[in-house]
Amino acid sequence: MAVRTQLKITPNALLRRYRNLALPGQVLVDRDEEVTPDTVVARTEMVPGDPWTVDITRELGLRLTPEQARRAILKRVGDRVENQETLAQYRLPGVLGETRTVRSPITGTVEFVSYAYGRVLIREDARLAQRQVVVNVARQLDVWPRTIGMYLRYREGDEVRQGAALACAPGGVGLLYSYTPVAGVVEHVDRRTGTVVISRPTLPAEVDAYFPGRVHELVPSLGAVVGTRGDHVLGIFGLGFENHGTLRVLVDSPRAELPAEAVTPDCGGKVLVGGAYIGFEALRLALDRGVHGVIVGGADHTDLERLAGKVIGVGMTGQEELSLTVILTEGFGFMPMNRDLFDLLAGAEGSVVSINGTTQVRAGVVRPEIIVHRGLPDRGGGDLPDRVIPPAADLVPGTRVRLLRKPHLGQWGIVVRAGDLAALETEARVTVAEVELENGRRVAVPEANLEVH
Amino acid sequence: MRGEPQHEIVLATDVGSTTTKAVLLEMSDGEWRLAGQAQAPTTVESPTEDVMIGVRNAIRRLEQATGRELLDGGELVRPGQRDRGVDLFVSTSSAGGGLQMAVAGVVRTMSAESAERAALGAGAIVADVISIDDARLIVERIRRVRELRPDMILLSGGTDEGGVSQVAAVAEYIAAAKPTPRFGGTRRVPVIFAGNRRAREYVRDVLEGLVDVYVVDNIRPTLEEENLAPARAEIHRLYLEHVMVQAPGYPDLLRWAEQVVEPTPRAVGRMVELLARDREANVVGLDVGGATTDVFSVTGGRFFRTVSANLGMSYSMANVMAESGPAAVLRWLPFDLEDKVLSNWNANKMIRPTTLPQTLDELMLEHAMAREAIRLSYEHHHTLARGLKGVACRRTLDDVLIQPPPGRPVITPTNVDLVIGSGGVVSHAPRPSQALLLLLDSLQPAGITTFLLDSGFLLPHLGVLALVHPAAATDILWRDCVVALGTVVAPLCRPRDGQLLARVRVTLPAGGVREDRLVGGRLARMDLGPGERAVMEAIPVRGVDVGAGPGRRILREVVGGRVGLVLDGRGRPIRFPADPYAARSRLVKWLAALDAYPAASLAEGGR
Repeated sequence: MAVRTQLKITPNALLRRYRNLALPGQVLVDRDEEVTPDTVVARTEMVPGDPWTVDITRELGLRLTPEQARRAILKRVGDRVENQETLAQYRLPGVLGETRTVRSPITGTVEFVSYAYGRVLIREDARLAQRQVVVNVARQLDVWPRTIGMYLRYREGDEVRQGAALACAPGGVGLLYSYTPVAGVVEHVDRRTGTVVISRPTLPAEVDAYFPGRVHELVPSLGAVVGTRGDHVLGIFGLGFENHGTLRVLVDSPRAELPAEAVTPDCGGKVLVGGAYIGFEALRLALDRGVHGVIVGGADHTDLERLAGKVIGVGMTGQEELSLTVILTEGFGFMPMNRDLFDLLAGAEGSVVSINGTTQVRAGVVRPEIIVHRGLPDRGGGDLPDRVIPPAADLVPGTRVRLLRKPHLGQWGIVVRAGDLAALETEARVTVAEVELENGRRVAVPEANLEVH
Repeated sequence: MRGEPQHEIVLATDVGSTTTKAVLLEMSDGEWRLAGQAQAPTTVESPTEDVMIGVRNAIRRLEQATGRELLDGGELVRPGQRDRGVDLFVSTSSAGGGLQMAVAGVVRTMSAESAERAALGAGAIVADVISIDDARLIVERIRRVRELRPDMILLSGGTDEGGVSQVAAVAEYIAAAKPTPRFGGTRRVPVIFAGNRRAREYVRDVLEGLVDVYVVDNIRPTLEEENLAPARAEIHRLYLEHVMVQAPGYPDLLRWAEQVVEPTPRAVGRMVELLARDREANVVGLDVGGATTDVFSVTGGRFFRTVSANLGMSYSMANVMAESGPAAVLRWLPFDLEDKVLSNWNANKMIRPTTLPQTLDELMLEHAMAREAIRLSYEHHHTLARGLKGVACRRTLDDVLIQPPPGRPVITPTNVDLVIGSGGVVSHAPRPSQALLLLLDSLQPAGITTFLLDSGFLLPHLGVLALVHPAAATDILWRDCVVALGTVVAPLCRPRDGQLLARVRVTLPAGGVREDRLVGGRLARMDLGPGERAVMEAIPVRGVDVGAGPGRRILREVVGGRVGLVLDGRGRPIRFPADPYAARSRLVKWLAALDAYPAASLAEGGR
């Protein structure tokens, strides 16, 4: 049984996408506004809202049972807590029992409470997060402020990770530790007060429109729904996240290789179309020259790993820190591009295309996408039509197929006859089809190795 | 187990991550036999996302192969009649990633490891292990549980008389994560609590309203005791009643099978256990799938099962090479191949998992990859198939001599008596010697080991059938499923090339005697056909162990098979010469010795 191609071409579709921030911010577009791919739809600038762990038992200097902790901790999961607000309170037994209090070091929301361990995890409100955090090391280690340098494990300028041991000193029983409540850079060590100042990185975040289109609907504080009209293509494998640019076709045939010489300096900002193959030199040059995207039939797996700087083991991509997005439409190695797709892209030379290399080969399949912009949608346009393609296809004479394995890998042909059992060179007996290749030669190929287009 | 069944025609399917297999089993003249089998691509993933399309496709092909009408308007014809329909339908499944679980415990090497063993034993893929003593921050652990979206969580920790606070803290992590199920929907994730019984109430309080809590007996009631059965049974029950019904198309499959659907590793494991009992032997079983490789072992009556999630022959192929490295794969090839070509070949198989090798080069390449997938999975199995950690036990001198100390692997190179291989790449190997070499080269057992093959790729079907019809499963196991490949004699040593290791004399029941020598670096074969039994005497030279101890003679009955009796003098572990040409020449000799591939393809060191 042959397989259906996973390359999916939907010409002239209406598309709508949510373009939202992960955290609330400012929406910068209006309903029905025309946008370009670069238009910033929404923006926010914030210090990452780190979770802070407050060790209630340590702050109280007591060992509590879960029941005692449940009574002492005044906040519950989901509660909002202000900076210096009382988090926990415990009255020591006895008529004159002292009342000990623990206050929140930040403003945020209680995300987790462990009564078993007496800990509270507070998710800091990113909009109110302090850019600098002061850690009183001397007090936590019970040492003289001026001596904290002896105990510190980091120097000024060092990066620290949240939860790292900032300093440690001998205590009454074993060692005492001072942990960093946030990730950042050690900005200043104050030996007069015994404190350490940690600066936290700010994180500007914005979301753009991704493709030219029209704002269909606003999503308050987060972004908008943007719509467009265009040809939508799902490829086979990709690298890199969302990108866009003007389409430039650099080869004249779907069987041609995209040579490195073709990647000239004026390709910067463009999305290039190759035929069957692109080598590492051309990919590297494309990256160096600021090319935004490459759409090609095939490339070597090792070259993509070199470009991404990571092992691509289980077929999940899209998170690479690359300014170049690569989309393979057919597979790995020398793979001539589907003729229909090549003609579609060649006919769209100069159009704006948006591409996204994100791929997941199984467990919720995600394929890389290409959107060739064809115009603005009418107000209130529909969604991308969703065609369900059956994965298996019975072969009948006259079916156009592509051959997926050696010795005819990547070749195209027409089925002449199907359904016979035959022995392969490997000595395995399988169901084969007789296929007439484009050069007129007839070959017997396992049906499982044919892709129907 | 049901009452005494009266079925005469049984249809069984196995929904793999890549291929859906269907077999028809029938009672004929008082004996069960295999009536036919067929397969079709699995359809659990996009764009179809309905497992029943692949199941129906496979059944239609089975109809063509057997001439028996099984479907009518897309529904099964039941009950079976003279020339149409079936009496019983059963199925196994590992598609869509199988049963994916997160396990949690207090100490990674104790309760969490026991929980991991319980989950693996139930046929699950363990996506992550959370414990109090892992190095991650609290928030990272919580985030991980949230991101995993497991089908189910198994929470353990604490002995029954131990403290409550630590296992309670792990429960609090899970509560904070508010885990959601993989397939979405409105249902809650099932959490099985199999920890300190004194903590049950607290754990229920913490998790109530967020997840569905099911309580079973403690996995580690004491440090010295591991009690996995109740947790395993509960995992299986919840898998059928709560998890499978969420996966695309599975409600129909469950309806067809009247709830007799099992995770494939669980069904195969049942057959491996049956084999070990039947033969009274230590057995290692392998099921090399498209996305996972499952390893089963029964050693001294103790059963272990591991599922290596990203080691397989299609979707996980690129990951096999990422973990093993190209050099490890290329050493098994009798021809030159650029890393680049190997890498592309792997990646193409990953994105088009149902394609078949068409040339001999590609077949050898697939076999090379399979050796590495099995080797890596077997290493993984060794990390879990071991004694309990944390046990303070008093050991007698006998214990010291015959039992592995706590925490040590229970499988040793010389205590594997029987190996059975299953899965597409092994079961469908065109020559039996190819299947034997895949298993031998990757597992490298020493001493005397018999190799069997699940030739029809039937173990999953028989495993689930055994639930309903054990007699039928056993009948078909020996008649249509298991094929003897042969017996391998492999000394445990590091021999020099050409060094005499042992003299071997085989006395056939008819009275004939065959003699050969076990020589360092050499692989040789003696004829001993399927069903033949012979008495083998091996007299090793000093310091060489052929299973009875260094330098000690061994006299044992051995069974033949399609390959015969194999004398493996390559040593353990198998070593290749440093010079690549010498290494390839050596490999060609080994392959030629067992006639693994057509001679022309091996001439001049392959192509």
